[in-house]
Amino acid sequence: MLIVEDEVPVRRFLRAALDAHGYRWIEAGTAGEALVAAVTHNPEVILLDLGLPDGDGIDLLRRIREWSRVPVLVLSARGREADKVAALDAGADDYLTKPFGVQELLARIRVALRHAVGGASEPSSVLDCGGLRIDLAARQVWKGSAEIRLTPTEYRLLGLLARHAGRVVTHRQILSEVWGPNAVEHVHYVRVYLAELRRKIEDDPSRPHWLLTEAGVGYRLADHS
Amino acid sequence: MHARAAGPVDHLAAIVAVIATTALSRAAGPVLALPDVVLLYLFAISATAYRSGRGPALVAATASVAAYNFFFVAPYHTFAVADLRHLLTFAVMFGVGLAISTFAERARVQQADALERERRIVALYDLTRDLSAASDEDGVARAVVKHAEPSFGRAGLAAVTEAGDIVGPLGTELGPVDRAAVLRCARTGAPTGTEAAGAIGARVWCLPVLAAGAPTVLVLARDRPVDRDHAEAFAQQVGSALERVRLAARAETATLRARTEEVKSALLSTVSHDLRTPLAAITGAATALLEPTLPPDRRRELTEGIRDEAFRLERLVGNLLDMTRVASGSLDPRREWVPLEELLGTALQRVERSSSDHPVSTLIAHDLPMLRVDAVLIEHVLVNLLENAVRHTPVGTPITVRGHVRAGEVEVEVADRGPGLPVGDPTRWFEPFVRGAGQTGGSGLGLAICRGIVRAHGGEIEADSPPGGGAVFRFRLPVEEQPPAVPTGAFT
Repeated sequence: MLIVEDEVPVRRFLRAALDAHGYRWIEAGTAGEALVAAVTHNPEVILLDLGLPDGDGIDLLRRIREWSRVPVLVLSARGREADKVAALDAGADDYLTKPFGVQELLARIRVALRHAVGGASEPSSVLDCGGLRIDLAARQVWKGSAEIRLTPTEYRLLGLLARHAGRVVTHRQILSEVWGPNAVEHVHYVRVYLAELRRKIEDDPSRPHWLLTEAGVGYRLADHS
Repeated sequence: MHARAAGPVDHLAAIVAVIATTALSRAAGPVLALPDVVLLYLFAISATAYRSGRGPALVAATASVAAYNFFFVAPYHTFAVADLRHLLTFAVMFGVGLAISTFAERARVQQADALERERRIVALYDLTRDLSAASDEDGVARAVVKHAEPSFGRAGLAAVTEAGDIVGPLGTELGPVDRAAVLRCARTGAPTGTEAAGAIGARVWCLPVLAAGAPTVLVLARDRPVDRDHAEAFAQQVGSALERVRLAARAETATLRARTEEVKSALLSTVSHDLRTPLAAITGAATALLEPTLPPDRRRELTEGIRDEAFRLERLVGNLLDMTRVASGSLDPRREWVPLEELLGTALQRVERSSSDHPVSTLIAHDLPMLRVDAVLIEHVLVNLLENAVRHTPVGTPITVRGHVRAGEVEVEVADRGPGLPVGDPTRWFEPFVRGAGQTGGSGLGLAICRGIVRAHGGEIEADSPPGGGAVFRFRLPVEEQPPAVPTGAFT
């Protein structure tokens, strides 16, 4: 994988984490180097820090997206939700907020690899999130042994999150896919429907187990399998 | 100041008086002897002198002599005189008339002067009264404008800065020649405009006002003659008041600055201590880890310590940054429609680690309207309140979060059944850097940040000790008109 990060201490810790789990990687300290490295080495995953010295990480992301669907995880500081959303909407797959822990990093990398186009595993039509089972083909949702009835819109919403299981989906993406591109300003649609989904699915809607909120960014269906 | 000058009306009145006296004397006929007539004329002259001054009095005297001659001295109805002794009478009549008119004139003038002096003293007194009530330069300037008007006409104060700019309401009204006069007065400290040579073409009189600070000038519009002494007395009073006001302002600034410095240095020492403590723990643990002979469980302990202290540092830095934003008023909530449930969900997720020893229960009204708030900021409030409850209550104390509508607002409460709030004003806890007794963990900023965020949303936060014991922190947010209903996802 490709690590695009200019801060040496962060690179050091990323190296240690990746090494311990048998990943191989290349490093780039600037957007320029990163572009060259991406083209030359064709990595499987890119870790991209949004605070690069010589340019906009999002620009780099867009340029990579012009010719590649390689999974990209963006690293961004706390409080910069707008940057994260912009990156996700520009094609990033997920994000990590600095400071983050190794466990979180590895989990996100695993999810990213799993969802990668042409990934090792075949996309299956039944998704098991550890207690919650979503059958995309039959359009059914099971919690344990009980089926949960959803309205078509609720199902569409859940289905979108399920297809991205483990990854964050921004409000904009949700609105665009479930309600159409003209609805992207109406964030409250998502909130209302998600609240309803939580009430139907979660044991305690105010402490969700599966339908997680990423404050200021979007939502994530947790995969507890 | 002179008494009112005599006009043509007054001269006419003089003549009328003489005519009246003549008519009266003729009408009285043989009752009046000649000396009586002379006295009557003298009476008319005096009255005219008293009323109108010397000029008309002289007119009256001349007319009286002429009339007396014409009507009462033989040969009658001529100006010829038969007996030359009458000439003496004429001379005496005229002379006495002149003398009386002079005395009367003097008395008039003195009376007018006295009235004028009294008026000026009253004006100065009124000025002084308003000046002593003035608490700042604006107040002084206003008093000047108000009290200068009766005595001097339009007037104002102008202060001259080092750069040569004229500050004050008059600044815009002065033409270039007038401005030059003002500047010259300010620079030289001498009045201008009261001598003809001083300011040719200027339409203002300028008097220096002696006071600390920027040179200031009393500017009087030249629309009436100015009594120099009165103007100087005026300027002197203004000067004292201005000096007092300026020095008071300086003293206040100095006090404020000193107090700010005090607060700043207290803050710096607190922050420096709060940052150094976890750093010391991290440095210590990290260097200890470099020791080769360390058993694995010790290693684990030290590494966990580094992790925990680093989290603590991160939270502290975040709080400091947030506090800066709150204090500088640059919190700009990016509002969106969010259900309270969702905010609570993420907040609980964030405090999961630190609240693992405290059972948290939630009671949110089912039909609670959605809030239009900055999700990240309000989540921060909830996190701070929850962490507060965890930190200030013993292990195992249950914490409850409630949400309901009350009086048109959404009310959220974080309550615990712990030891409760310490004695004292509950609003104190929302001041920055105020910590509970014996607390070294928190930065003392959490509640202050909560208050800043809640207020930025138009709400308010408070702390209470409920009757059953423990503590409750409550914040209220206004309910906005709910968004339009959600369509059932017409997929285009």
